[in-house]
Amino acid sequence: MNEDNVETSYFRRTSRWKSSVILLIIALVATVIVSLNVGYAQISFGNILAILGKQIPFLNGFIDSSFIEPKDALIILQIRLPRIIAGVIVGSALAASGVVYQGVFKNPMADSYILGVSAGAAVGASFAILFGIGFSFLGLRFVQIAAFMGALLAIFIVYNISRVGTRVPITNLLLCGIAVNFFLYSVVALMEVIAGNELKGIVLWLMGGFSSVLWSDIWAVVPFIVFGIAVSFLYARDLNLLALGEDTAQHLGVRVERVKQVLLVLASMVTGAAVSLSGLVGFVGLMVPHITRLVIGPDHRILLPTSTIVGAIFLVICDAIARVIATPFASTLELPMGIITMFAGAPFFIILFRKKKESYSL
Amino acid sequence: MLNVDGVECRYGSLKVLDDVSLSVKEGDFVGILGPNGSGKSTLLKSISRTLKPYRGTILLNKDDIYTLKSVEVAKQMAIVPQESSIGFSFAALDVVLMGRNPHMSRFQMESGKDMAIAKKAMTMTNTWQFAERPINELSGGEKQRVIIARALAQEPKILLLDEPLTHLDIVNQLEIMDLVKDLCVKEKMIVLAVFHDLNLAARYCTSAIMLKDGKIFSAGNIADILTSENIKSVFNVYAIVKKHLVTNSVFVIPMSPHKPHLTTRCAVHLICGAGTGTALMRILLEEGYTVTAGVLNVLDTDFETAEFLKIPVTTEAPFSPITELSYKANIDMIRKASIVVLTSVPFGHGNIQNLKAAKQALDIGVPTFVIDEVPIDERDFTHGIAKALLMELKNRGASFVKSTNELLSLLSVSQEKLSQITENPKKVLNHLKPEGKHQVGTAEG
Amino acid sequence: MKTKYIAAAIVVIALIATGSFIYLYYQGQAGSLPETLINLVDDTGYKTSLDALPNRIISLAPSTTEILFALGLDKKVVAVSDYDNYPYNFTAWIAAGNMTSIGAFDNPNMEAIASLDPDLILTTAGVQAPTIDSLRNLGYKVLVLNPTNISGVLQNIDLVGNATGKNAEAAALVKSIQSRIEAVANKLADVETKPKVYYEVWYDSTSLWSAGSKAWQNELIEKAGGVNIFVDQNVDYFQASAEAVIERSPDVILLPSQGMGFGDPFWGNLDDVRARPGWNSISAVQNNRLCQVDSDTISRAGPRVADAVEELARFFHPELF
Repeated sequence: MNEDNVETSYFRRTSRWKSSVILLIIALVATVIVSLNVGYAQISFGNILAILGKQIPFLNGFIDSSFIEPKDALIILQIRLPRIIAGVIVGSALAASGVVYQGVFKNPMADSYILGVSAGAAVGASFAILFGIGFSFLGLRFVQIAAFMGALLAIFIVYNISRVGTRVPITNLLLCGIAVNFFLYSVVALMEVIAGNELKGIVLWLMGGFSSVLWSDIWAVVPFIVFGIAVSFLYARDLNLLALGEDTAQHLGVRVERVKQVLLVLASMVTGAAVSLSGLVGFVGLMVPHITRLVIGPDHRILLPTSTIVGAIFLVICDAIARVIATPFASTLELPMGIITMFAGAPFFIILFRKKKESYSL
Repeated sequence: MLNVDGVECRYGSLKVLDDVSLSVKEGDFVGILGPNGSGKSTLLKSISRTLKPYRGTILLNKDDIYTLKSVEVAKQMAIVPQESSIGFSFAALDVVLMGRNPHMSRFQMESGKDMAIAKKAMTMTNTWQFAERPINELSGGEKQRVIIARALAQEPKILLLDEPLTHLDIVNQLEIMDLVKDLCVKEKMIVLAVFHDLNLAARYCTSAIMLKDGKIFSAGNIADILTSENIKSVFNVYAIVKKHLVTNSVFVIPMSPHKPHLTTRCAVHLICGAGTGTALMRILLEEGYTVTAGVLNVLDTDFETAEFLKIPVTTEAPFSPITELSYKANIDMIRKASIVVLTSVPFGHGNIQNLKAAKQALDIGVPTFVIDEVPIDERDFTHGIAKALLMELKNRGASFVKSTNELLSLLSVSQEKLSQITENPKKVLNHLKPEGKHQVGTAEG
Repeated sequence: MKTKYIAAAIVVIALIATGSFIYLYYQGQAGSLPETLINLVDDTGYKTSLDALPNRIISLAPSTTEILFALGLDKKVVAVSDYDNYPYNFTAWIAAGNMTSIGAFDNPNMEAIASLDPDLILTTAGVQAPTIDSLRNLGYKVLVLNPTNISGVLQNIDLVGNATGKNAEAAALVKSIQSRIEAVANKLADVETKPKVYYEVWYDSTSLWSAGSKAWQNELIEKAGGVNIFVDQNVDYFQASAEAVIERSPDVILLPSQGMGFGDPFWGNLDDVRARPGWNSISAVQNNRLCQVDSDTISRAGPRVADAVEELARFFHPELF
């Protein structure tokens, strides 16, 4: 092997990530545009573009929108677009936090569900739905606030129970997370038993979906998610080092406990915010990092940004499917998104896995 | 400069290291030796900041390493742990490049310089050829070398090695050790390495500490602390320690642990030399016999063994033929023995007297066995005198056996006889004649 | 190190502040309230105002549909939910394309609603809460009808009449319902013994559900001259034990049934009920007073309240009605 080739191919590989990211962003934009076309209401693509164009400050002078019915504009801007944007936000959040959890735990099964974070969010949301508390704070409905708080509370409890002195052994975290999970889900089940009319509401929330998401909901969580994901990007190299083992990482200069704390809080904050917007959407945080890792490799400096975008694309597609898949049977029926994500993602993963089985060891 | 002072480490309430102190300076290659569970890995863990000592301090250039930032320590100290499991399929080159982490800032990507250092480290450890292969596809030894390369890529001033040679074949072991030693000498790197192989330690280390039950049993120059006594005390193993002439280092030959025989048997006097008696000495001792030997030249291999096994020997000065004095002393020993065994030792003018001593043994009446493994013609350097004497021995009733095993089986038989017959040794002798001579039938009792 | 936490806190607070700014900005964009013609307060206390009589009404619940149609607003209703079935077989209408459905009433399709460009939406509360929020946020006028008793329903009818300009029709309907219920009450005035009634909400091999004092059906039972065996339970619907039912031995068992009450009960037929272990000791079983009721009539808080009371009265006091 020519020695120069190795070095150049290494540097080429690391610069490849820039082109992958750009490609993925283009794919995301394309997915968003296609998704805007999908839905119960039949609105022509030209109209959609005109509606969107009107929103852009400089362009709107050039666009004649008089032929557009206001209800179509309402549908696109207030019903479809929020859903799609929410899909982007939540998809990125879940995928990014999935990468972080798997890196911190060096375990492919780790994700927000395992740690009880999602369960915490579910408890919060069920509580709010059950007691019909309807107030909103800064535009955020109580269900969402409660879900968010629940998520943070769960990770706080799990982290502190599993702590041994100043270190938090990974196995402790996983076991404690599982235990807290069981407990919290039984709390949710209890609430389901108590719930009368609200039962279906809780069940639907648990299945996940964007059917009544509002811009104000989105704005309220965007800061947390953007902040959380951005800061995690900074820790990408630490995640690489953690993959070598905590002792080794520490020997190589990583402040392991501090990094773990920061990353876990960030990931849980991001997950809690996302779950409060979308309900429980399974699969994304677990499988999207896997799928991306199969294609791109385990270097977190590339994996984090690419997984994030892949997650966004995936969820936007799933939301679009959720909106229309039942149309042949019942024109207005929407399926909960959680079902779509599971159905869509699992076979895809299996196919990809079988192809790359030999070279993939985790 | 690394100073370990009074370090005590615990796992829970169990003391694993007790009051360990050592001082290391640049260019030192320190071996950490000791049996399993003596605290060697723990010592490295405390130095590498994996396990904080319960008591004591560890100073790196006057700074307490536990107060320094991880990054600061990582720039100066690298550790190759006993085993590493890497869950993700990083390429070997990626793994080595991660060793550059302490020297890179958070936002930096690897530069050409980092790549060059990594490449150099990998070439030195013979791992560059699988730079792009995923690390979990490599064999144990290859992976170990990659980890070592990573440690070297850190450009450390102190290198900690925890049993680094476990998976390596002999060529790689030597290459890595040579490499490390080279760095030690040229770059004045400090190396602390845990060894199981005492010979490798002896060969490469400048100094060493021997740990027993968490305490330092002995510390100092490698040649000083690797002694049979120390090895016996710490490892409970008998070993011969010699200075190797070619490598100019000490080397250790371990023996099986000495198990005293339950019953003590009679005394055997060995007439041997040139290595022919070494195995027999050991076996006889193990079987419970009291063994003496003579006459042996002090440079003789058998003499060394005898000295090691604490067997009384009649000696002769080097390069001298056997004198009257030593001959007489030999006979005295023979008198005290119950049996004499003559091995297939080559005879020259220097030791022909030993053959005469065997003859005299027969005259005195001590049962004599001759191991005739090698034909006398091949080992007679006395132009026939030895052969003649040997014939005489035969005629006088010495028992000739073809091998050591035969001897041993005969000895067992004769032991019983000897214990029963107290007078007339000659009669016993007759009984043992293999040619079926006139037997003393009922005297066996 | 502490400064890092403070810095982080500041950042988070700044982000929240930014978020709320944006939100308030959007709120402000809603514009000022136009001249209003009709001011309404619904059952959640929310104030809605209409500046014209609505012409495109969407009903998101079967009970609200019934009210609308009872007030003669057929032509103005543009969409109903999947479960609506009275007073017309809407499924056939929907299939024929004469009516639109906007989905299940607990999870209606927002785009479908928006496509119809409604100027008034009627819903119930409870599970529809998130939908209501979203609809209001999109600018639609939503009236939430959530009555807890018969008088609440009558108020609803008035409210809807007010909202749609059908005040006269509403008043007439209310009067008619009231007088019918009064008539039943009058006939019951001298009745001494009121039958004990068990209303079965749900039954399967694992559980049995009935109605307590806060349930809608409780009042109906009372007005019809019966006594709910579980009136002492201070809840609406709850899981009861079969032993409790057996022990309290109701005189009449009400079973929600298909086919407007002429079909079999939803979970088994009458023989199944009689065959339940221990149930043959119950007075109602022994006297064969197992009554199939139309589940819709007895559950919907709508204009058929009077029908429900009358039907129950017939079951409880057959000698009088």
